[in-house]
Amino acid sequence: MTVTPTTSTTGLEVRDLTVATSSGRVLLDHVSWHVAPGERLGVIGESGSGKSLTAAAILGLLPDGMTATGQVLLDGTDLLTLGERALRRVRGARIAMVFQEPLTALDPLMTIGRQIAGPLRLHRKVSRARAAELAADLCRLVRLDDAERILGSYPWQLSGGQRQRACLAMALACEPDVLIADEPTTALDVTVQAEILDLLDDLIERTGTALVFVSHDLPVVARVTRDLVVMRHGKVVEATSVARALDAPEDPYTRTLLAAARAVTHLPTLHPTTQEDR
Amino acid sequence: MSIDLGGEIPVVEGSGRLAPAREEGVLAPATGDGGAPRARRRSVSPSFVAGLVMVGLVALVGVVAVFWTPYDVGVGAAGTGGRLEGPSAQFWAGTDRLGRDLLSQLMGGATVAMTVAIASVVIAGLLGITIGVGGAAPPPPPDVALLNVVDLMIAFPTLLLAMLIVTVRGASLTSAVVAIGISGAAVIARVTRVNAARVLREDYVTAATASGTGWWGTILRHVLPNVAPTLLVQLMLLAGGAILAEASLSYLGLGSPTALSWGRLLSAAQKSVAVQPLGAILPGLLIAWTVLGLNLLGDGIRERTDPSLRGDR
Amino acid sequence: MSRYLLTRVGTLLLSLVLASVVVFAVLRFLPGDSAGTSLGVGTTSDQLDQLRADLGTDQPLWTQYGQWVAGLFSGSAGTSFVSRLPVGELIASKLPITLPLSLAAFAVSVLVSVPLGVVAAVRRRGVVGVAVSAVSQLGVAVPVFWVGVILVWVFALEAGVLPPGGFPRQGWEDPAAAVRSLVLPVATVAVAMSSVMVRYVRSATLDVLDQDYVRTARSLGYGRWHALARHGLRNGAVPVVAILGIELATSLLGAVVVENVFALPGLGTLLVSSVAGRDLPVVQALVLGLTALVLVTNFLVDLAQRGIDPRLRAGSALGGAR
Repeated sequence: MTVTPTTSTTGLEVRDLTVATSSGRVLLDHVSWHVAPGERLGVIGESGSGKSLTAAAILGLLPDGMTATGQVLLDGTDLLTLGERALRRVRGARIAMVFQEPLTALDPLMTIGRQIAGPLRLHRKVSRARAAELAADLCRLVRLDDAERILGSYPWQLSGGQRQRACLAMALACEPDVLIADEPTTALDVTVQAEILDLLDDLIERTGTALVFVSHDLPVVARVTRDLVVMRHGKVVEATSVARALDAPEDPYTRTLLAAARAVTHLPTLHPTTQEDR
Repeated sequence: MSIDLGGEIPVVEGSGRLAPAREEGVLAPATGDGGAPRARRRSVSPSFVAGLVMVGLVALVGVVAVFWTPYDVGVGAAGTGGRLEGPSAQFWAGTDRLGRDLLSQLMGGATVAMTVAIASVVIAGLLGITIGVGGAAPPPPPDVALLNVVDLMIAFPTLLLAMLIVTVRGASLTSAVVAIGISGAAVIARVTRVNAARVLREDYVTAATASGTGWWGTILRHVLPNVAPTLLVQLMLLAGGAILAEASLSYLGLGSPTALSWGRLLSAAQKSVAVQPLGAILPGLLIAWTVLGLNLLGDGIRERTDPSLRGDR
Repeated sequence: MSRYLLTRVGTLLLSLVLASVVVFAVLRFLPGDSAGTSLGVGTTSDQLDQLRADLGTDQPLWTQYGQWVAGLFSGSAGTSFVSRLPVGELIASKLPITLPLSLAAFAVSVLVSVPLGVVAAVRRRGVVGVAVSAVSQLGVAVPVFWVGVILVWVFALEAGVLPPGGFPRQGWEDPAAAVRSLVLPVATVAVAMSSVMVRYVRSATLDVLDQDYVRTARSLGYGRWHALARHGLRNGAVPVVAILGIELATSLLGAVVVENVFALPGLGTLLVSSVAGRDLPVVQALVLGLTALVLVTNFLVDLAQRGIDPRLRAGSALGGAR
């Protein structure tokens, strides 16, 4: 992997990331943010604001016909300059992703065990037997009890929460530096949502993986992250912290978002669920 | 589909997929804005326009040929030119082995093709929709029996049914059209039934029933309008299939012995293909042109009515 | 599973019985007397009665149906009006042409359309993708017999490299000649079948490519083709198997038409000449045989799909939750 000597930042930094379609329409406009190793960042915005597109651009998985410019720096290396081969060694191994809908994100015709073992066999080249052992360990890591049964099950035989845990296990299999969670709890029931958020919080704490948490839901983001980026229409409108966003939002859009969240949930004025010591 | 088989709509029950549901038309432009809100609205799809023009031309020629063709090619008409002549100013497409004008015969073929398409579609539509709606009616027991019969009919190839009917009734345009219509009715019945059952499960239909709308009211007001686009697409495909099936029968000598079917023209010209290739080439091209037009028309309607197809994929 | 198998076998048998009744009924109840028409004009009523007695058509319908079914099981399936040969024997003598023709055409079109359809889906905007879409769209609209006639014209009459039709008198005892005479017919059926199949394979592959689990696989570092191989084979196989089943049956019907283009003395030419000559016993045996083949193929397709997709085994309630 070639090291671009432009900067020496560690962690994942997105610099002036711009995505345009082949017809020239700009979908992401100079998006910039940074998450240091082991840190967490919330990316918040309504649907269509470019949150998920940012995630796709980081991994080099934009739909056909879209091009990204700017920089995506992982420990100083610009991922946008890497070829497909080198990118494949980044995906899943150094940056992994968890998606919104765990049912469709998993192959319905493949057992959970084989799916979790997949990235281990791909990146670590471990044996089938070793991969199965590691997959069982991963199940315990994401608190999937009865690992044996789960690993032999198909996705549709599990509950929504179990599926998302399996997705987390798959994403964390190769101990990535950064985990991008794209609305990981949106498709789940409220109680399950809380469990997954707690698990995510705990996993980040234990593994030292940096977290980029993408969501449209301010209260949910407030539960796991401290730093916050607010996006709208493909632009970052405010980079702030959850505390400041709640106390004194600067951008009018952030204020709207906050008002909307307050209207439906009981949102604290401070942030008791985020760790004060971080 | 050139080898006609009653109904190739493989509904894979388990995964709920209709296999070729998302064919985009060949003529649909490959635009680049995936997923983004549409920048410009395309109200009419190119497939639709192309299909309409192609089928419209054939229909026009078919109507004209009823009243006028360059030369008389009716039953028993004598040849007016030399045998198997190539194209000339007098005979634009040349002549057949009896010296009759090929162009005039091909024009007559358009009339036959359009007649077959319309008659088959009408039979299949009336019969199929009736059976399909009946199959979706509330008491379930006959539904199961009906579905089995319909499934059996779908499995029963059009060409075989046609051959059965021809065996007994003799070769005629009516035999062909009845067989094709009945085969098509099975497909239409199934599509109607599946979609009607789906619509009947919708909340707004339950609400309408709760507020006192009767069964037939529900069918007329909610079910048929909802099923119509899907049915229209199926009927377009069926029309194309009908033209191919009739052409196959006529080619095999099991169609009408007098009608100027393109299939029969091709069969007659086959032996002299080395001398007058146009006689064999043109009927096939015209069949392909018409069927392609109908398929494109079907694609176009599907693109218009199914929003999920509107984006490029 | 065993309970499913039992009901499925039951349905199959019921369908077969139903099909036999339909075939029998259509031929008896539609207006028109096949026995009369088969002898042609100028037949005396004595001759007609004699023929009817020979054929058993003077018996009550149930007896006739029973005799016919019994005949089917004994393998003779009645006697041809025209050739006076046992129908079973007649059909068996045509199989050495029709079976190789349709099986070879099926094999060729699978070998052509599966890779082509997959490539066309993965490179859907590329040259291959667009070309495959266009050609297959044209291919499904073109009549199969026309393809045959054009191939004969080009390869037999103009180039003279292959025979324009017919089958060697010695049959398979002259394998080289037999194979040569089947090349163009196989190509003709394969062209028509591939056009249909490539569209289904392409659309099944596109379907898989659009699935979230492929995106997941890509986000984990799998390449485009690797992800497709990992997830596409099974997921794509479910709809494709259904098509292969239908197409296997179609290949036989294609053979029916194409044999006539190439004057091959197989089941297709037998069927067409029997229909034209109103040879009732032959027509009903052939039609029922071909229908039974379609039904049995559907049955096998169902079993294969259950083998591939565990959701189908677990019951439709779970299978619906995608």
